[in-house]
Amino acid sequence: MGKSGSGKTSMRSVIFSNNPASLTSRLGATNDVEQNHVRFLGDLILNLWDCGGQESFMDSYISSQQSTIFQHVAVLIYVFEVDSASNLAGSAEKDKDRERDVSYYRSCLAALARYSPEARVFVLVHKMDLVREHRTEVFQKRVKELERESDGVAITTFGTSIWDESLYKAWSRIVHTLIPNAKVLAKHLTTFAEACGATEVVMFERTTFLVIATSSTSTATSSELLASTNGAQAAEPADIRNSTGSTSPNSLDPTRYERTSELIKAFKLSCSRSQRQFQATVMQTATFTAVLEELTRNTYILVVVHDDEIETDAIRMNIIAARSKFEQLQSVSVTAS
Amino acid sequence: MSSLAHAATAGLNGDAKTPAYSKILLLGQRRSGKTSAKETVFMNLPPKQTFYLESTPRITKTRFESIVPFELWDCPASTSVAALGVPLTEISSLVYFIDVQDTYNVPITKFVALVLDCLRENPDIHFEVLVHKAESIPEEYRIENFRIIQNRLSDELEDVGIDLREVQLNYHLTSVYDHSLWEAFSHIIQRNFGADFLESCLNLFCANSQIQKAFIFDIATRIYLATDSSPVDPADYALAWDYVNTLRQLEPLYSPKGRTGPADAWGTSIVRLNSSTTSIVIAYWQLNTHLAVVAILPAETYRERVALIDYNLVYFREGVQEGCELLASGGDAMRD
Repeated sequence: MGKSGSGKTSMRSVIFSNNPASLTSRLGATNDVEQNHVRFLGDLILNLWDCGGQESFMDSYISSQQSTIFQHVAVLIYVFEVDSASNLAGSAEKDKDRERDVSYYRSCLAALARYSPEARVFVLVHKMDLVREHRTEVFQKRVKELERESDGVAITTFGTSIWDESLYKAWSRIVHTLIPNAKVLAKHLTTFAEACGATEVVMFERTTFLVIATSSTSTATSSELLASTNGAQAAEPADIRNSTGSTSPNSLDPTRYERTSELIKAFKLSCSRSQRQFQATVMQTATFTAVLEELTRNTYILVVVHDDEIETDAIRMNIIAARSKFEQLQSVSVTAS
Repeated sequence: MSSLAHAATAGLNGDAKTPAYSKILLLGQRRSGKTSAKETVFMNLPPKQTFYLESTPRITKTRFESIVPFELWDCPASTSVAALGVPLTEISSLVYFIDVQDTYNVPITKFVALVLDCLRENPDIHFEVLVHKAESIPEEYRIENFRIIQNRLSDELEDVGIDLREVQLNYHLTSVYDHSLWEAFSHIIQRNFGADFLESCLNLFCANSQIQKAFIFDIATRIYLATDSSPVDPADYALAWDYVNTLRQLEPLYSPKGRTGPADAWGTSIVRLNSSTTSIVIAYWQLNTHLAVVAILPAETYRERVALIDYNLVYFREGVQEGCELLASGGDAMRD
């Protein structure tokens, strides 16, 4: 949900329909509610309701359609456009617009509290690419305002842009909350990482390439992924850096998961342009070895090893051996939902 | 396979000495994308950021010390031939940018005048016309627009009495958002550099390892310097380029900071791709600090012959390294 033109459909098309970001400018406005069933992890069906943002629609969502729209909601994603113009002249028109946006947001929260009190609320401050300077400051300011408006409802905020990896980060967290046994998966991945002598193991969903779960030699990472209260703001990467920095053997780039999602997805896209499908890759450099291989029918696994004595073939053997176990875990996870 | 190394030296002896720096001029109207192209290809600027580039007030010269040393002169739109300050005989290529959405009249007239000026002094100069910003018009119309510009230019040049058969003129349709710009620059650089020895090395390597197609890439710029002599399928190049592009962005993500591996541990990456008929493998092998070879071959061949390929690769790498060293000492242009 969100104001008209804030980028809801663009975002959906980048993540779930494998469209490049540059094509989103051709998308038209969404009429009413566009329902979308997305198969995620094979059997887990995400029911995306892309709600058109024009005021007339918004009014009807809140009034007449309230019970239909807000019933059985697992996750509400409210998209705000970061408006860079607010720093400049706060023209009356803009202020009014913004106020209206916020008031819709409040009504949505109220309706949600009434019909699906269990639902998680994610707020995306979108189009961050339009802010050129002081990105974090602008974002922080926005977050403060929004938290004030949320009346104590726990929200998770992300600063996102379809042009970089931040969108993958936000969505990875969002789907993470929807996977019932994410903790168990993370635990198994950690065991697997130990078996491989790997620094890190990351599990990706096949079509979206969103991160489902990660292992860590420390327990920090998995708890981080789950930590999503008011305090854990995603655009503040410091918390992630600190906790992994001390325990993980190497201080790796903190944005690596999202970046990997983004890069592999872009590469998959260019493969499909020449009628080919991405299958697996092995990468060896002077300092590390990475194996990206299919794990189950709908997941990929990335194993990163910083030990040049470990053969890539050994890792691949391990992956093959682990397949059935993860296949089983996954079917449990899906039936449980 | 030991003949590979000989092939390298033999090919090289036939080459003329490389000039210290090949000079490549970038010219074109205001905001036609000269600096954007330079920054994305050679300075690793993300394409999206080119939007914010300022216009270039004066000629900026940038030197590049890859295995082909060259100098790019980024010239503001107003630059005339006289303002360059060097005789035109020293210029090896002239790259002219035309914005595909522009009205073509002005840039075409200017280009024709430029060609006339240049030909008077240096008939050997390479003219490269980049019809740039291809991404701004829908795919269906791109080729058509490109053809129109190409025909208009040829007509105009013939009208002023230039025999097109005697001019080295090439057209490229480019965009900073995909491989096309890199492909164009690959051709531009290759024309200034006798890549014969690399090509003969590649030919031997491919023939003996049953590789369909191989490219030698300059790692830093993603320009390819040579390919084997089989015809280039643009889709193959696109795939190879995308792969190199992906790899170089992935690598820093998992490299621990402040730790470097042994100096001779060259990177290797393999990716398997499926299609309805055959599956293929794209292999990336680093050859030295500057170069890497990207090979495309059937997955089955790779599985069966991985040992042979690895063995051949050792000699191939040696051959290329030796060739490059010779080139460096002979051309006295390598400064690292």
